[in-house]
Amino acid sequence: MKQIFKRSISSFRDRDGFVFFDEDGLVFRAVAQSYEETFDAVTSSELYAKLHKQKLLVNHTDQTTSYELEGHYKILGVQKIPFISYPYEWSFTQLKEAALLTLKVQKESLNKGFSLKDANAYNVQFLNQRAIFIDTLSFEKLNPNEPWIAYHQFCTFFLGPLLLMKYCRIDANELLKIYLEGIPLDLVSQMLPRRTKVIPSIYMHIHLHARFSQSHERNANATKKLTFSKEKHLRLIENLTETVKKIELNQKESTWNTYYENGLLSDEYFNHKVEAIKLLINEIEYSSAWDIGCNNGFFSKLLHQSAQVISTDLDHLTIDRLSRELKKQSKYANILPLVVNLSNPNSGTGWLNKERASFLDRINVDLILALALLHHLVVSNNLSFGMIAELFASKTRNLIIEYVPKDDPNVSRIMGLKKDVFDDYSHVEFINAFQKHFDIKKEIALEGTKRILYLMSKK
Amino acid sequence: MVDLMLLYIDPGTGSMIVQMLIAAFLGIAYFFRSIITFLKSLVGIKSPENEDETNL
Repeated sequence: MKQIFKRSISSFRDRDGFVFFDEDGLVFRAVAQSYEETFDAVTSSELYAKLHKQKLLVNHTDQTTSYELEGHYKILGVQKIPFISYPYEWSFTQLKEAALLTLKVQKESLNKGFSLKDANAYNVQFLNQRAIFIDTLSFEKLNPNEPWIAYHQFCTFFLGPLLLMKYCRIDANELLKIYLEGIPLDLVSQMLPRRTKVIPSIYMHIHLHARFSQSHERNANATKKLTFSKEKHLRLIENLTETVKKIELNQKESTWNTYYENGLLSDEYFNHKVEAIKLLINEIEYSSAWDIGCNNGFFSKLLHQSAQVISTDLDHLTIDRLSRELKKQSKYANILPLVVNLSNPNSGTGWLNKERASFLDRINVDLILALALLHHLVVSNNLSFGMIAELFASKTRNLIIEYVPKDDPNVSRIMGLKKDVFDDYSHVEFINAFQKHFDIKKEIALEGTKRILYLMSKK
Repeated sequence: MVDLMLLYIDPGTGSMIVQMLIAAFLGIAYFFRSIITFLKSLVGIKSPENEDETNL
């Protein structure tokens, strides 16, 4: 009989169970006695089987006999998600997909006589380019007298943020970092342009909903005589689905997502860089990689398809375009694009600042790819080579990094009118800083430029 | 009746009431849509088949 090795800090809200890990990092879910009846009902209705078959819910296996845990009905071994990401790191397209997944799961549940008791975005993760529901215990028996209990959550986590991303700013989902229960609807309502009040679905689900949430917040008796049939539930889900599907981004271009197309460098440089990187990645073994400043994901795609690749960029539109493109090509299912600003990576939030782990706590890889990135960090963010080397050394064993000299045309461009205070920006300083943490395994000077590509491994 | 003290999340009374209103509105909209579909079918206009909701 095994004992619990480590309980998940973020798993405390639901009294019907919790998540824990074993020594090898495998994920388990303890099902409390209070959930026994519901769990058996969901299992015998074949709702789990149906959701698993459609790859809408993570798989689980019964591991009850391997664990000793008092007061618990079942222990489930849960399919592992290689990298846990959060809604404020997703692109518009990813958040929209997560919203549609939640509605689809709710619809399947209703058809089997169940309903989701919560609809927060943290119940969704990405596995092989697809959104997947991860909370096996989110289901409850459908009460015919009760409207959808998670409707408000759905609006604050999905509908509100998606509308703000469309109508206000594409990075509006980053507000979810502050509002851990979803963006309050009164705020969404105030931020959305007035013209959205004449769109019936937005008026009802956001503006009217926000007004009612305020005026009825203390009147618990008001719902005593409600009835809400299954047909009404299904109609509500159908309308929410139509509403979410219709939300499309207006903005299609930013400085970054046209960066390669408008770059200052030649084809000669680019082609040589591709060949050089192919050569370097064959020199090392890795099963996970982090492509920082991935732009259109071109170099992420060169990495082995058996490796889990996290491709990050600070630009929302770039990641949105990449996530749309990757979805069409199943061979790149190993790549997860995320919006992350390296100079301000997401911090831990919630209880003990650990309920939602910081980005740097979650990422740890065999290989970091830092191509055409260094000069942005030094010139735009005033970071020193030493600071960058220290961060990379704490996160990876191998590093492929492109040294961009100070007299490179792109450096002059980003320097712009900025005063040149970067006296320590030199090849010697670069080598010194990185050699403190890494051994240089190989270097390749890139044709047509003074840039140099390095393969380094941690000391 | 919903026992608010036992709820895993607080659904908010306002959210419950607004759902009743929306469901009623959608019911009426559905009713009129069916009439229009029926009238269209009388004059031979076929309405498009419902697609699968999500295309996930």
